[in-house]
Amino acid sequence: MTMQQSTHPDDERLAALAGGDRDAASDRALTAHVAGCDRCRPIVDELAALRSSLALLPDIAPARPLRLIPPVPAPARPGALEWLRRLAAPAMAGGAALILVGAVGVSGIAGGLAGKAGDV
Amino acid sequence: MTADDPARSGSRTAPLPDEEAVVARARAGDRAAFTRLMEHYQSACYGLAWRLLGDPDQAADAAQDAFVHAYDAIGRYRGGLFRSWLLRITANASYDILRRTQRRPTTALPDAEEGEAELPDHGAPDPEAEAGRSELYRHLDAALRRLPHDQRAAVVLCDVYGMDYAEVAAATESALGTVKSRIHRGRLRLRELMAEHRELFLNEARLDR
Repeated sequence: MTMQQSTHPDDERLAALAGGDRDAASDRALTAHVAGCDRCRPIVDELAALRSSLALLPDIAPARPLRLIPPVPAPARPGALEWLRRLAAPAMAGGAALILVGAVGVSGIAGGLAGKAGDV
Repeated sequence: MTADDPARSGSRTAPLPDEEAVVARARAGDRAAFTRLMEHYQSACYGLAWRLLGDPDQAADAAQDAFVHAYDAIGRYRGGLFRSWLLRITANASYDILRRTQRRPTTALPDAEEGEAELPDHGAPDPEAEAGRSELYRHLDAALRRLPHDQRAAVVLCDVYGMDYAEVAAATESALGTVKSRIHRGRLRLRELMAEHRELFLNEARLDR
């Protein structure tokens, strides 16, 4: 037999219960009241149905394409010590050395030619 | 029942068939793999951002910020659903913008009237099945816009996107108790706002059983 009782739990407790809140679900006074109350049970059912629908809201395509990936970072510029090291390095074909200094990152010419030139 | 389960809603992006492999390549520095993931999930990210922010330009900014953060953080991705990881990042990026641009968290969006034209076209992939549903979705999204920002954020993250209390608390930089209260009040307010469309979501629930 169900009935409408004179005192009801706070509606926020009903909202918690409808959302599967563990505290609410394990509150036997609350669940017993709801099971037997013609005022509260429909509210909980409605809140649960609403929540079900919210879970179905679709993804939304943006109106214009988004920028998907950050720009490639600029190669790091060598520090002062690195410049001095290169000046003191064994002579290479002048043109090649200049190109490499521009393209290669912090790793030095002597150490890092093969591996680093192509890396981002 | 879990929210944000692509198996339950055909209009949410499901994982790529080879997603584990793509994620592994993205983690190893393969930019094409990363781009593929972002392209795949951009509607998920944009959708969450739009529901939090209510403005298409801000939502696009938030999603793009999220992609940058994801790029920086992908080395730290430890598994679990990639979509969920990316949506958490998107929630944080959205909340950063929300905090910067909204002065009073207890106000709703300024143009939040029922049925306004700027609601997104949900673009249902299965028109027949979704015909009745898209009306419900429009009303739900309109009603969400009428919630105060703090309640809207909490309900969107928890009930639309399936985040737990702790995740919502982290994304909104709020205490757990505050989050719970906002979620519960938001649900109650949403029920009030959706009162005239009660049959739509009750029918949906019946069909779903």
